[in-house]
Amino acid sequence: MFYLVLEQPERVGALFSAVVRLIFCVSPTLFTSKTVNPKSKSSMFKTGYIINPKLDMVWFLGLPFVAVLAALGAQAWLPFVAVASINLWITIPHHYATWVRTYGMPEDWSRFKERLILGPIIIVALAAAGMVWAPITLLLIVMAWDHQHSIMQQHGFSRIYDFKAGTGMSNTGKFDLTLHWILYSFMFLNAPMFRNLWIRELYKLEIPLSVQFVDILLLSSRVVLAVFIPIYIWHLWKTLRNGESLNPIKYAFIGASYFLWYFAAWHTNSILLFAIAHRLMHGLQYIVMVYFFLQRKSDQGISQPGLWSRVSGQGRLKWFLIGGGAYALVVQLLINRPLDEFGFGVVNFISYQAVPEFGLAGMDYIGGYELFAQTMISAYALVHYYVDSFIWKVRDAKVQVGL
Amino acid sequence: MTWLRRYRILVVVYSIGIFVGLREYSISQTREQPVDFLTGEGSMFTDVMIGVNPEDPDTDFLKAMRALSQADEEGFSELLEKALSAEIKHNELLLQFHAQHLLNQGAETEETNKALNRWHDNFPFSERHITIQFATGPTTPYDALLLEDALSSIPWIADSEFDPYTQDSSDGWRLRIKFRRGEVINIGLLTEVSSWESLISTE
Repeated sequence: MFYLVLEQPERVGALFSAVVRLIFCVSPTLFTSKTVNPKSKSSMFKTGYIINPKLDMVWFLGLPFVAVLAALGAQAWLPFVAVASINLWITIPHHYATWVRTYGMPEDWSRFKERLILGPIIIVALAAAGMVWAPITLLLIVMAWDHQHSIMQQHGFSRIYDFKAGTGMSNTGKFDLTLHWILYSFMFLNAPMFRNLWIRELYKLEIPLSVQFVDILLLSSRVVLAVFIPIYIWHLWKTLRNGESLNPIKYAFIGASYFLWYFAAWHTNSILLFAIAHRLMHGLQYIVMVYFFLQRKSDQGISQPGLWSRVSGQGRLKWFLIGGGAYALVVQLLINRPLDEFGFGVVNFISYQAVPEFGLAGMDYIGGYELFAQTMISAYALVHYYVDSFIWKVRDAKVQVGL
Repeated sequence: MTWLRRYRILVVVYSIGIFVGLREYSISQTREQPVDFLTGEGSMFTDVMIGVNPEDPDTDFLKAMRALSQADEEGFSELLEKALSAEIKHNELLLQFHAQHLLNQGAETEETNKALNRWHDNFPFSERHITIQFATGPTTPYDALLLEDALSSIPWIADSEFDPYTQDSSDGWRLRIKFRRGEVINIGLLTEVSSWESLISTE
């Protein structure tokens, strides 16, 4: 099955076509499972991909399932600190990808300059005010925006699928966005893990809810979902009736994404599972998207070079990844968090035990960090001594040229 | 209008932030402490969670805390065990509280070590501490220094404070410790001694 998905992705489209044929009772002669020219309007199903069939199968259709397996493994064998490690390895580098795309790309910098300067100032001011006067509100805003951002990312990928295949109608984007909001909100309201969260936060704001009110709210969310699903199917039917096509890969992608979210969210004993699975999917898909976007720009050769062109394009993947890792390292040091967080709770880089032979007591975290900082300063000095020992030889003819 | 369209997401976020933030600020002016969900004050929240999330281990923890506040020791232990049997790793308060509860109850060292290491493994960077009670404490600076040295030589202790509960030390002393990551805790070194002096003599 995996071979089929990876090697012959068009077969997946064919399977999907068969299912839809059953639902809509449409003649099989109207279907094609092969990738077609997006401009052609002769088929009801057209497949288009974000990158290409193989890579889409790995990063956009297969990744959610792998992420769930990885999260289940983490739940079984790793401590909770693994969430912080995933944050460092995936989430922080995915921010770096954004900075490369915006501040490191002259084309985008000049296009969005005003927003790229004002935006951070306004947001940092909001965060600072929140920290001082309303920390719970700040936390709620971060969480709420994170959820909205997650919805919009998957919606954005859905739009790319339609764009690449030339499928859907002019209002399909709005229907898709509504579908995403309703599916995600249903999960947020109904999954026990999230229920605990939002009910508690409302209590903190002295907005107590009764069980009856929560029950009515949950019932309403189910009614909205039950009403909207037929409306969405009607939209698909109308799309086909209007002679437009559907991209089955888009629906496979949406299905895979919601499989991850719903499976993880209803795993009530484990916030760890949701946190790891979600971060893997969201962060990795974003990094992949940015990298291939930049690579295509690089291949076209029409964009002005910048930081982006140094870390992307043919043969430069390693620099993109090294840049992301280095960025995570710098962030961790700047916020004064232990480097051990990279280690999934398995590796402890630093352990400042007592050394009675030298009369040294064991150190607390602050003492340990000071020792680390002092070690780094000493190490830089040692490197300086070492380099100077061979670059300043006056007998060296090449040095003499510069003297 | 172009400006509004360009910055509409920030306008929405700021509007929500100001609305909710004013609510939070006004509450913070009338309360000294935030709502404590683990005391009687959070009883309504517990009722709602029992109604909407009856099978959730976090709800069992809330129920256990409510039983404790009602002096129902048996119900408390039963519910706490039920919550822990779900093998949850995310609720640091539950894991720490369980370990502290075992210490307070004078449970078997092996059982307490298991609870402490379970908490510490999942939250190795935690700034929370564990408290151990002693009847007496050092009365001279020299003794205090000797005790500090003795504690700092124990590999799994990252930081410790030894002070009386009250100024006249009539209610006994407490040792508050934070743990060093990557080390296995053996709390018996501190609990299986007759007094604080034994810690120095052991050293």
